[in-house]
Order: sequence, then structure tokens, then C-alpha cells
Amino acid sequence: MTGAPTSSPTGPRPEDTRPAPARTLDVGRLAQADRVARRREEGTGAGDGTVSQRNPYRPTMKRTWFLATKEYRAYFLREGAAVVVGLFVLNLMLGMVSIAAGLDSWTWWVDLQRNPFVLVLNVLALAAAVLHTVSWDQLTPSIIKVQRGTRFLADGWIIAQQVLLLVIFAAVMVAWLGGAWS
Amino acid sequence: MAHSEAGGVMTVEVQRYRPDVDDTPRLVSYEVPWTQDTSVLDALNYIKDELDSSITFRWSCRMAICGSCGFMLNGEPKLGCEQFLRTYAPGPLRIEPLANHAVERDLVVDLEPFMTKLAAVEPYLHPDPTGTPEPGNLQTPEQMTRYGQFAACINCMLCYAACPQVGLATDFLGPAAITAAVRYNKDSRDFGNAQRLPLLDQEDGLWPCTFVGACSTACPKGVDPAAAIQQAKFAATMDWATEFVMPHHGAPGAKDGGHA
Repeated sequence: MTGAPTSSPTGPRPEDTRPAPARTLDVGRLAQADRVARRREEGTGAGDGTVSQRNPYRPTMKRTWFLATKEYRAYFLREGAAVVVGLFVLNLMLGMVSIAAGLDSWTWWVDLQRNPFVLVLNVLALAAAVLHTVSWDQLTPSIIKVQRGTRFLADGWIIAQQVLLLVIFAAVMVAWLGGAWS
Repeated sequence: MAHSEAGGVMTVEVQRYRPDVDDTPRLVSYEVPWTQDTSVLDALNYIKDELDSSITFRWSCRMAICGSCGFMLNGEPKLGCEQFLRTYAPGPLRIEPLANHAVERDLVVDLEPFMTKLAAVEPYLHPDPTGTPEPGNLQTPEQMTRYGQFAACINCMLCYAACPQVGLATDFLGPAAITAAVRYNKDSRDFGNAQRLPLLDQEDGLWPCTFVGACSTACPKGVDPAAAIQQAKFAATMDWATEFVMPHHGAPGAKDGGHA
């Protein structure tokens, strides 16, 4: 065993000039509490000064903290996926600008979509969108609470409602783009 | 390492830090005999009783209700009394103080920042300013269900050790304090919402939360602090939006968003 302290102070500390604590009443302890409270107000912190030898160790987070646990990795995947979606949106906006700029630039943008990097970006963006959809559905039941008496509606119902809304929205969009109202 | 179904001897590595001697903490290994019902707290008490009386750690109830014995066990925040050595067989088991906290000595961390944050949200009933409650200040089981889950918090600070945002933004109010605020805001007997909202709805209030969700996984009492924080975000956003429609909650001349 190597952990035994070798130089911890055991005798009375030279700087300790407090009067002996009262033995019969708790007056001494209250006075001590007052001193601690006063130090806190002065910003020197409870336990600092002559009462103890505080020397707290302040750990720092590693630069690679987001790899430490499964949850952190999942969280960073969610956050990182937003970058891919952002690049996809930039590409889409470029397409809109090129339509406005005329046929030549539009042809250029359509050709650009055959670029392997853009193809990979599109595939990654699809994966990111699926990830965000799934994690959104997983997390929503934590926020949307529907109370029925002394119970809450089961998570499955909240997720089902989300999926139902998505299906309705997608169906309306497909019908609209397909010219159902034209 | 000798071990079997019934138990054996496990190497337990404990992070030691002596504030008067050490500059940085270090791991010290101990050989601890264990059986099926040896908890991590039992192991620490064995070390203190039999191997090294200078080892320092907090504990009290041994039954996961006092919230004193939170440690990092192999890097995960857990209550020492609730975890058993058999889970970590054949070992070694690494015991460290709660992450994201200043270490005072060995496994003891500084509670002061958390206590300050918890007290800041005024986690107690604010009575109705317009009248005296009925004798007993009763509420129905349905009213209790609204906040019941969030009332199970034992302030063990495992969620603070689990949350990377607490480590990155040290002034973040944090999971348990926000949950305590939500618990009282949802209480039918409480009228302190207006006092708590300005504290929650600020940069270091609930907004540093990025919904990592690690607090809810770490919670030994099933409180789900992540849910409480997201619900508080939703409530704060609704309050912000309501200001456009009905400034100061419709109270004429009220300052600070009607938070009288």
C-alpha cells in the first residue's frame, strides 16, 4: 500500500489563533459558521484561510471527450450530421441560383451532380436526414407529455403521431408536386 | 486474479489525492475480497477499515436514497451503494471522484457550486400571493402526477458528472437544479414560476443544454432530467412568444415581464 500520507500536518497549526471552542454550548460552532459565511461573502470561499488547507484539484476535460461514451458519440454524430445537411442545402441553393442564371449554368449544375463527391454528399445527406428523423422521434416523447389521470400517454403513441404527421405531409407534398391540384 | 461465481479477490483502483501533498491525483490499487453481495461502497469501507484508513469518501445511507456516495466507476457515474463488485468481475474496477467537479481529497468533491445552483432556483413552495391555501394545502393524485417523477431527485450529482456541458460551461445551471425548478413549477400548490423563469431563461440557465441525454441515463432514480430541461425550454419559449401577444401577461405597468 502506497497511499499513506507521510507529511500531513498533525500538530497544532502555528497560524491558528482562534480561541478554544466553547465546550458547553454551540456558540463556538455558530461563530465558526459566521466566519465561514463572512468569508464566502468576501469571496475567499468557505474553508479557506486558517481553518483548513484546501487545495482542490480541478480536472480538465480531454479534447477527445466526445469519444468517451456511447452517448457522447451518438450526440456528436447527431451534431456532425448537421454539417452534411448544411452542405447539401448549399448545393441545393447553388442549383436554384443556376436556374435563375440561365440554361448554361443550369446544365453545368446538373453535370455537377454527377461528380462522385456530390453523389457521396447526397448519400451522406440522406443518411443524416434519416438519423435526424429517427432521433427526433426518439426524443420527442420526453418533451410532449399527455397526461391521462395519474398516467402519461405511452411513448409509442407520441411517436406514432409524429410518424402519422410525417406520412400525411409527405403524401400532400407528393400529390402537390405530382400536379393533383393543377 | 482469483474469482469464481461466488466471489473472489478483485483489484480495485482508487483515485487518491491529498491536497496538502499532491499536485495531481494518482491511482492506487487495493486487493479487495468480494462475494455476491459486496457493493462498491462495501469495498471502499473494507479498504478504509482493513488496508488504508486515510482513504476519504462520502457515504451515509447504503440504500440509494441519501445521494452521498456518487463515484465514477470505470468512467461511469454511479452510486457506490447501488453497484456490486460482481458486475465488474473479474476486475479491475476503477473508482474515481465524480467528473466535472473540483476534487477536495481522494473521492470527495466540492459540493458548493452545485448547492449554490440548487438554492438559486428556489426549490420550495411559493404560496399563492393572493390568498391563504386551504388547510392542508391539498392536491389530487392527478396534480401530483404532473411533477411526481421529477420529485424523486436525491441530489446525488451523478447527472452533473455525466453532462459534458457542465464540464465545458461550468456556470451552466445543470440538470438537477433545472429539474428541481421544473418540479416546483409543475406543482399545483406553487406560485413561484415567475421568480424562477428569469433564472432559467438566461445564457447560463437552461440554454447550455444540448440534449446529450447522458443525465437521464446516469440518474439512479429514474428522474429523467433531460426531459425536464426540454420541457422547461418549451415553457420558456412559450413565455417569450406570449410576450408578443400579451405583454407582461396582461398586467398593466408590471415590470420584468410581469414577474412581480
